[in-house]
Amino acid sequence: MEVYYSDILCIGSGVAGLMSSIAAAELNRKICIVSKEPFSWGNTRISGGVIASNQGPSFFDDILKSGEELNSTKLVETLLQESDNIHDTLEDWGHVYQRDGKHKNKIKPGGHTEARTYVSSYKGISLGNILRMRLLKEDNVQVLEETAVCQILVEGNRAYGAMCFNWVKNEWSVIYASQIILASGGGGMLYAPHTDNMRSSTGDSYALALQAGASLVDMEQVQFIPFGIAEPVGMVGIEVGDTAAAGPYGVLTNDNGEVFLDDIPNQTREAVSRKIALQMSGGTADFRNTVWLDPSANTKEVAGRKAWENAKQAGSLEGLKYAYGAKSYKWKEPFKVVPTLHYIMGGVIVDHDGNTTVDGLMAAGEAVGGVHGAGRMGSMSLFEGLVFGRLVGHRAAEKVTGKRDQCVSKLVLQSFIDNYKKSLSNEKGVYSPFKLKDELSSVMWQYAGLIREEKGLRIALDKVIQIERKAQSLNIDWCNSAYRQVILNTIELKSMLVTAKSIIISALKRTESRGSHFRLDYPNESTLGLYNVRVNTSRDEMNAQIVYK
Amino acid sequence: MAFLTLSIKRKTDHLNEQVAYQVDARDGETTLLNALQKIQTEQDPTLAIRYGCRFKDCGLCAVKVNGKEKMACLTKVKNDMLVEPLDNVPVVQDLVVERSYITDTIIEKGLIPDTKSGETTHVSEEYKAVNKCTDCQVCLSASTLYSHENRDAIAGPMFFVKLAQIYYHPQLSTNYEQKIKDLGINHYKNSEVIPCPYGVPINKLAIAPFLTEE
Repeated sequence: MEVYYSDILCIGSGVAGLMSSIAAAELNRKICIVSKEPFSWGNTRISGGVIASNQGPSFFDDILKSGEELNSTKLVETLLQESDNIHDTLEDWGHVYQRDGKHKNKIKPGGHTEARTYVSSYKGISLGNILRMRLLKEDNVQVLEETAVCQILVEGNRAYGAMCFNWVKNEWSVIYASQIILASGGGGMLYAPHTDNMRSSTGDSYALALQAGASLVDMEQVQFIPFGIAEPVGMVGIEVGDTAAAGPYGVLTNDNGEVFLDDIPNQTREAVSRKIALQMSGGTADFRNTVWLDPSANTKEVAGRKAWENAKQAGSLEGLKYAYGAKSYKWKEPFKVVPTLHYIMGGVIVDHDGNTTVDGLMAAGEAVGGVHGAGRMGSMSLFEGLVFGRLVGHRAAEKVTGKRDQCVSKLVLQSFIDNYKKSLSNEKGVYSPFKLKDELSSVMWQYAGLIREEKGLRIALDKVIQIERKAQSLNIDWCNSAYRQVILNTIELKSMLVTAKSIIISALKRTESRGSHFRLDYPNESTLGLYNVRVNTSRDEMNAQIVYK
Repeated sequence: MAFLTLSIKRKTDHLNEQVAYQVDARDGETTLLNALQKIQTEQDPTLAIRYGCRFKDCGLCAVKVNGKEKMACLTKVKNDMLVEPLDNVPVVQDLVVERSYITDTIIEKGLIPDTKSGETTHVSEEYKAVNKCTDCQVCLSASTLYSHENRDAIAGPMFFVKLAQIYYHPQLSTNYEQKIKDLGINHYKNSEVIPCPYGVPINKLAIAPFLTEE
């Protein structure tokens, strides 16, 4: 067992983790940044690299409108106030935006009423690389790659460290830190294969926060962007794009070729995904029909051809070529689409400095809930990650105290690890975490995805509990290094089970339809006023409660 | 059900051999990555594979297929494929090779852009081209000149591309001359054409501009 000491522990190396680590390192704090995949290999790297900027009087209103006012206005205000110079800073670090001579190009992704979004020179990978390099320039940084954080160590509501497993080295470790920043992103794999997220997006942020004693908000709000690839099997869920990807003249049709939706780019991701889902289900809770995106009318119009050029530049057409062939790639013939899990709006409750209710535990990025309410506009996640990453990094650096809060003997730490292993799987059995993950994600897709109702959500909860039981008897050998990925996936399965439960009980609690959350049995917005759904864990029991705004 | 056979080069602490697996898929029906996932999920959970995004963007799933480097997500599965880990990079287990030395090399060789501040006005095609690199390590595996053991003296094509990202940056201010020496690029003077699944013209943009007369 390795033991590390740091001022600040940052969990996650996507945009929020990198940005907060850079910010804290600039204030001369010692940083330990932990990444479950290779360093800086998160969703940031595979994103489109489009980043909003604080421009125009309508920005605040646009955010709240897309979020159907479930947003925390305090967090949205903070986001705008703290966004000064964010793009200048990135450019100073060497980030390059697409531009037309002197001016950076601006686009208008789904939800925005004006063009205020900049486009990175080469998608998310260019942003990921610039942030990775900028952090590596700092001296006081320790990078622990390919290392999963299993538990936050807490004593009397004070977080003081984390237990980790390096799956490549097959080695357990403990990191002590004065401040811990949770920036381990979202959980698209809860709906696999219907997700465009990285393999590593297994809801770790939410599970770790609950385990540490923090609370979650509006976990039922999970965003499916409307256009994912529907076949072949290995490509299901790969992103085609959001509403803009239909082009101004694209239409959605059913199996009989009848148009059921047009003017797509002027609608939110939430609205289009919901209409596709209802078409797929014929108004029931089961998917039985196919939906086609027919973009062919774009090829006859100037604005339509320009939209194709934009999509080509963004790289989002290549998946179409590979899955469906050249005609679909050129928008000359319709292709099958299915909504795909893109982002979780719900998440950890923090104050405007990024503090959770657990002393020493902070959060930033997709881990956090409340900024986007019930629906997120395009290009807002990188923007949020940059702005809150920087803010939380600064605040964490200010809060670091000289004295070491907790130190536990190695013997005790070893007993923590042994107990943790037992909590994952307490008897040798036959089940594989890979199979149970698949079982879980198909339950979530079927019963807790785009179309929900009480009956289905109750079935989902039962099934999650059944999978939890099976997960207690896995085919796992802690001492055989050939099981390194089995152990990693067991840790992830645990996060996914906790997160799945939090989504299901929140979806049961919200007896209305709002934003990304659609209840077949409550198809309208509640008339009783706006409320958030809050999830806590007390004595190993997870509870959801309504908090009126 | 139609089955096809994949042979996978396995390597664990207890195993070092080629193992044949039957997968229920037809030729070209799905990706090689998906077939590998199926084997891991349905047949042998100890088969170690690495992947991230499932289509093209992350660069994590490079393997050798019938002796040639490929991204598993961009390769359609076919009967009788032989799947092996990349060459020239230490194998962690089965198809998973090491990566964390990449971060160490970036730090040691100082492959970090140090640019003049202020706004860019012109972005060259060369800059765009070298930024497509995903660190997939295919170039290291395919190059006959690269050796992991000797990487301190001669770093390998992927790291030359990182230097090119600095060299073609619109606001270049780093002194890259010393870095050329530190990376040992001259060793690649007569290199064969180095493949890149992402289309980075490595010889043209990341080797040729840095060669010096000796």
